[in-house]
Parts: sequence; C-alpha cells; structure tokens
Amino acid sequence: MLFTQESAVFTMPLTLKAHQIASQFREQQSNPQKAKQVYLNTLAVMAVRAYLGWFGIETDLAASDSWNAAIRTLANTADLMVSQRGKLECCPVLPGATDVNVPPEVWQDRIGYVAVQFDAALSEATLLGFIPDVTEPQVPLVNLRSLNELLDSLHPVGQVETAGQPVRLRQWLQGMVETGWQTIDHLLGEPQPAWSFRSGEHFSGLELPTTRGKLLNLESRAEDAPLALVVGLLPIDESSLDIWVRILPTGNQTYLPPELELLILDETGIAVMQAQSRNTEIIQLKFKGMLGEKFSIQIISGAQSITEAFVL
Amino acid sequence: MNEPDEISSDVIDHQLKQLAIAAQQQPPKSRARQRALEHLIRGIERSRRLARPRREQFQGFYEEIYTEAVQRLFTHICDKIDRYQPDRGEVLQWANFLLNRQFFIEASREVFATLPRGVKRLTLDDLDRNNPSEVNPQLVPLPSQQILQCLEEDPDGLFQRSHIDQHPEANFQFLAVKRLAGYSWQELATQLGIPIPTLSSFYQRCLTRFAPQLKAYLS
Repeated sequence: MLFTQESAVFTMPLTLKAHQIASQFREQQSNPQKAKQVYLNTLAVMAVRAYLGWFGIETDLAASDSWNAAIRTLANTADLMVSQRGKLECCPVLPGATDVNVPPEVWQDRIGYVAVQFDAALSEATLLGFIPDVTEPQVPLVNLRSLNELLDSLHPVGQVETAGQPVRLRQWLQGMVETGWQTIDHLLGEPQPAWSFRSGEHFSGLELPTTRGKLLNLESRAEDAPLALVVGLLPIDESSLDIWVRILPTGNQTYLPPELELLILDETGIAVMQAQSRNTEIIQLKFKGMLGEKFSIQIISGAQSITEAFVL
Repeated sequence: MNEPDEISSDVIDHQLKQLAIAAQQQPPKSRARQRALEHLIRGIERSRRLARPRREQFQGFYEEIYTEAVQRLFTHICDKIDRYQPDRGEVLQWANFLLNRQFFIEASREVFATLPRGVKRLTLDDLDRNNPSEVNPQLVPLPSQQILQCLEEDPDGLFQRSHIDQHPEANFQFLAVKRLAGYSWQELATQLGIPIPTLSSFYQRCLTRFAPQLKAYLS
C-alpha cells in the first residue's frame, strides 16, 4: 500500500495553544538554558498528547511530572501520563540532530520514549519513533522503532507478542519447519483420523495439505488445556497457495473459550479477516496468498493477544 | 521523506476510502481500528489535498487558525469515522467539508480567545536569545527561585537527611541545588564518585516523594 511504504513518522503542526502553555511554563524559570528545555519539553508533550488522543488513548497531564511545576524545575522531564499504563517520555530532538537525548532522571519508571523532532521555527513536530527502554543518555535516531509500535505498546490489550523472525511458510512445503511447529499427530497427542478441512474442500489422498501446529498458552486459561493453532498450506501454482488457519481446543475440551477472536492481519497490521467463537468447537479462516506476501495471525482472548507473523 | 506526488489523486482517494472502510469494520478502540486510522490520518496529511478555506480572511492569524482546525479535524475523523459514508463521496471531500464548515470556525474562536493574552510563538532562535525573566518581569520571585529557597531552607531537614546509602554528602538537597544550578549528571557523578544511574534513580525517587512539599511552597 502506498502510504505504508514510507517511513512511519508523523509530522504535525504545533498549535498556538501548545506554545501558550510552553511560554507559561518557560517564564517560571530563571536560567535561560533551563527555560528553553522546559519550552521544548512542553511542546513535545503536547504533540504526543494530540497524536495519542486521535487514537483514543487517554492521557492525564495533571498526573505527569512535566506538568508539576516543582518536578519539571528540578528534573529534565517531558513525561506524559498515559491513563492506566504509565509515563511515556516525549523527548525533544533539535533540527538536524542524529541522536535523541534521554536525561538520566527519566531512565526509570517510564513505559517508553518517543522522539519528537522540531523545525527551527517550532511550527511543527515530527514524531520519529519510539524505544521501550533506555540506559544511555543518547540514543541514535536510527535505533528508534517505528511509530506504529508505539500504539502497539500502548494498546490496552495485554500483548504477548512473539518476537523474532516471521515463520517462513514456503519452506514448510520442502519439509523445513521452524521449531515449535509440530505435526498434528504430535501436537494433539494421538493420531488424527483424517485431517479434513471442513470447508467443502476435498483432497485426493496424495494432495493432503501441509499442516503444522503449535500450542497457545493463554493466561486467562491457565487452568485449562492449551489451545492449538494450526496452519495448513496447499500450493495452487508456482506463485500462490491456499492457507487455512484453525484454532481448536486440545485435551478433553470440546469447545473454544467464548469470544475468542481469530484475526488475519495484512502486512500493515490491518485486519483483513476475522472470526469469533461463541459455543464453537473450532474456528477456521481460509485465504489465498502470493509468494513473498506477509501476514500475521492474531488470537485475542480476554485481555490477552498473541500474534504470529508469517511470510509466504 | 518521500512525497506521493507522482501518484494520481484517484489512487490516493481509493486508498483513503479503503482505509476508512477498514477502520469502520473494526470495533471501536480496537488496535486494528487504530492502525487503520493511523494510516488514514497519515495518508490525508501526505496527500497535501486538505483544503485551505477562507484564505482571504484572518490576515496574520491564518496559519494559527488553520493549524488548530486541522488538529480538530483529525480528532474528529478518528473519533467519528463511522459517520463517513463511503458511497457518498471521497474521504478528502468529507474531511474538507468538515474543515471548512465546522473546524475552521471553531478554531478561529479558539485562536481569537487566546490571542488577547499576548501569546507569541517562540522559535529556537528566540529561545536562545531571550532571557525568560526579561520577558515576564511580573513573575518575581520566579517559581524556580522559590524552589531553590525551599531547598536551601529545608524546613524539616528532610532534604538533607535523604541521602544515598553510606554517602551523606549525596543527599537530595545537594543534588537538587546542583541540578538547578545547571551541573550535569556527569559532573556530579565525578565529584561524588557515584555512578550516574545510582544518582539519577535516587533523585527521581526523591522528587516523587518530595513533590508535594515543594509544590506547596510555590505561591
């Protein structure tokens, strides 16, 4: 998609209101260097607050150190309290700088750091990216993570993201399967009579799709047997595949937990398919993919979300 | 940053519409909706096709009003994306209609309410040149000076008594006064022979603890 090929920074104008508050805070300082720092910190906080507000993420200025006259006088802080999450530091970056400065007094008790670059006129702010933790006073801007990840990290769903490389599905067809992805017999503990996909598709005995699965441990279901995530592949031609994704209970459970959601996200993270369990034994989604395409499978249950990334 | 100038308006309109529909299809507040909205807002911003209504009016304040109006527009689009009707027009038509009819007017009210208070935008140059206390002489003593006074008086002896284990010289009063005077963490670490992270995390805990006392001192 056009807009997602570009780097995920966001430039926004700084409002007069933001400058007004910044001026007010600045005038409380006697040291010109400190006064400048306070002005820039305030603009950075206002920019990030506006940005998060657009996406429904609530922030609380009154609970932020940067809005506390005593603390912002004694510490170089540009924190923004994100409701129910914690303090997000909004670090100002000067035009042309290649590093973001993160003062030692904000190395702790932060849920993350956003780099906010200004133009010389202070007419606009560019949110450059985000980093979850910091132990050095300077972080090269090239080390920042994409701004997209900021919202991921703030989203109220307790994310349990799987780190690392996407699973390479094409290789499964050659029998190269990543650790953790097991055969169905192995996964479910007993030979399965016939791995039939219940979508009206029929396979002649030799064309059974490649299927592998893994167990999902959901915190909310710690007492119960884990669920199984199963991915099946059937090549259509040289460049495309049919892909099945299933969620099913294991052990002696018959039904999936209610309101379990299965989503297929495209490369940009937008959900393109979605299914939800009610009194359901199994959820299945089927779609077609082209060689080289990336997608993710997301499973949401209660407050927890598990995401697995794949490339074809 | 790449500008999407080679891409035709039709393509942009089509993509924006797809993003808006994608957002509408996701439950409110879901991460999937946020993602779609994030792409949508970024797409609108980069299209450079947001209208600039009423350009002949508000001379001298136009940019202020426009900036405020665009922020309000983005807030509205994210919050009320369900009100967009894809069959009735393009996203930019919807956005520009709202910008012109609603947010530009609201923003002009906000800006005209703020202006009489003498608010001026400062640039980086202004910040390097001007001494803040010269700008606002009526704020005397400055809050930063009141805080210094409070630290030095240390009415209950609390600030001096709070120190890093086995380093009475590394107490909150000392650190705060030095920091207020502009000493760097590196300088303080060298002078005290204590690593920066030890100093800064102690300092941060003290600030949280003493903030109410310090703030009470500000008139």
